[in-house]
Amino acid sequence: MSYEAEHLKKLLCASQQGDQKAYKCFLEAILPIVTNRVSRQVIKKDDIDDVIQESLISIHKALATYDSRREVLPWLITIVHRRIIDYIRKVTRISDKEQLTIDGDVTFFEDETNSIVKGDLSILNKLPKQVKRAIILTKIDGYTTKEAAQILGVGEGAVRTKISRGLSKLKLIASKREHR
Amino acid sequence: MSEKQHLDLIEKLSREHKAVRVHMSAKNRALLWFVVHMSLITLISYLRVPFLFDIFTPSLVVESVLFLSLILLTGYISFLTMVPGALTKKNMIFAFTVFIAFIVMLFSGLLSPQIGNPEVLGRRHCELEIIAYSFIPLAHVLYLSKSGIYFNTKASFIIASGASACIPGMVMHLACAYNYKHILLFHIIPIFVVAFGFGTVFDAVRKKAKVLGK
Repeated sequence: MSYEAEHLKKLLCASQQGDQKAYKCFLEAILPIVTNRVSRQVIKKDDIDDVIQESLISIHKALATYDSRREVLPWLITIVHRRIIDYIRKVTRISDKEQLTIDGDVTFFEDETNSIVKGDLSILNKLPKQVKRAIILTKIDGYTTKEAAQILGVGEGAVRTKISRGLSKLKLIASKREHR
Repeated sequence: MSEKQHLDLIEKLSREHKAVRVHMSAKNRALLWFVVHMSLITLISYLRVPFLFDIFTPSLVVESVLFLSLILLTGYISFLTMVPGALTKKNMIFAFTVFIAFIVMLFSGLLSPQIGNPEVLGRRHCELEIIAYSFIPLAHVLYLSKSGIYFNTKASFIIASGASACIPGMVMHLACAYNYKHILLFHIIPIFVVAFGFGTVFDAVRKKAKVLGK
């Protein structure tokens, strides 16, 4: 175990015993770790601070669960990671409920998707729910396939298949609209 | 929001902070849970219909050891899910290996049984006993989970339900007919029914309760 992890462990054990100074030092010491993790995975800058605050509160509530025989960092990172996943799921649920409207400023990360959709995001509402979510997560929100797989609770291969099928269907819908 | 506001939150949390009651380790919890419920269910089962200890073969001993190991491992894993970052792939792989070894033993017994067809030793409604008695250890795990944090609720409930059903399953393994076809149909299948059926239902109820704000 590194010196930093050892130091955090001592602070955390003292905090469990009710030492307020040690607890404050512990939270201040982990703040950069939490901030770093959250900043890397939460893309919307406005939401980063909220997720950091929620992570700190979760750590506070989970204090009794730490086992001093185990390492601190896996415990800490698991809690933060779960808060990030909860945030991503919440954002995805909200975007599912909202009907996508035409918004010329929103573009996809790839030209291929842009050329299919041509600024009309409402076309995505024609797709099955899980396929739509996979495309939104990867093509609009910018998550990697691995991250999207984690959010959706499926394998990476399944996400790639959903995206591929979704794009094929979008092409079909878009070409039918053009021929009308 | 800025770093100042994070520091303000830290100041508030540390000012109001009090000592916490540290949870018992997952290992000790699992052992205690196992001993209490194994004893209780064995007693209840014996009082209902006394056991017949006439048949003891080497394969029964090996199966029993494997089954007991499986109960302890799955119980341990369900308590590990309450500790953030504690559950590792190694734990899961080890438990899965023991499970596969146990199932292989049962199927090999099915193909080359060591004893005849002791239908007369059968215990009526043993599958219902397994399902009914599994609620006792499961209720205990659910009660303890109130003070823990589940990170993958569906998988955690399934594992806890499976571990809970394995306890009466183990009792039936010793108390019921020593016939492999009967064991697979009336002992193992109910364990899976409890694991996946109840696990899924409890997870859905928990999510619904969260949505309702309870």
